[in-house]
Amino acid sequence: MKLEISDIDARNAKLSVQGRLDTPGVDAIETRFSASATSAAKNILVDLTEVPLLTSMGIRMLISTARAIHNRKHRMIVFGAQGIVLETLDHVSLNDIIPVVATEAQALALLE
Amino acid sequence: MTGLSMQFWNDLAVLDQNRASLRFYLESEGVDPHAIHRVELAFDELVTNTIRHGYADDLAHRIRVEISIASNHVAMIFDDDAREFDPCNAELPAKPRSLEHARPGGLGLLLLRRMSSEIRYERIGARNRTYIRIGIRGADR
Repeated sequence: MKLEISDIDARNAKLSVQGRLDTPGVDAIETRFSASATSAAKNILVDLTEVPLLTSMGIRMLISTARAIHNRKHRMIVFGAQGIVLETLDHVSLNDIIPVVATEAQALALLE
Repeated sequence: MTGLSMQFWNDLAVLDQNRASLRFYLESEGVDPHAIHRVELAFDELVTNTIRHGYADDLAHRIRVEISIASNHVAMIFDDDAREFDPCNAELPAKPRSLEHARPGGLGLLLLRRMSSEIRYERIGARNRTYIRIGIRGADR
């Protein structure tokens, strides 16, 4: 599992995940993921482009992190999901509570 | 029909290793990648749920999983001695109205039902037996 956070601009940062967000994967990165996302004190764009599998454990991590960011008056947006990962997000209607878009540009447009 | 049989203890530490064996088997049998991801997801959801919520003691319990491939589906049989749990009739989570109201519990069950073409369950003595079928694209095999 690889996790990388990078500033986009003064208000927004990107959190990129590489690897499977299944039970072992989430166990490996959840603490770092949550800490990176909340300590940035910015809006967080979560990049799932390099995530080949997402299970309910991964969704739980996304929801709890989004809630923590929201409590700090910032927003979290998910982008880059493809294939089975996008299908999984659709099945649980994540877009109803956390914005899910295709590209980083679309994510940034939501924050303007 | 070929098959793979796995037996392991109720320890999440072995999940990744078993999932890798499952993936290797499905790839070597030419199952399409989309179906492999669905099978891996079903395996992760059911086994994680059993290990995390199925046992009232701290003892070691054996979990068995049988996988076979037919012309149009992957069939899985999960067998364990955890507390009775019927994934066919368990209540699904309500759709969240907002981030504040979202309750992640039960999402694994929702995914399991949506990703499977068939789920059956029976209680045999003190054991759960769950049968799951995932559709595959036969042309790839």
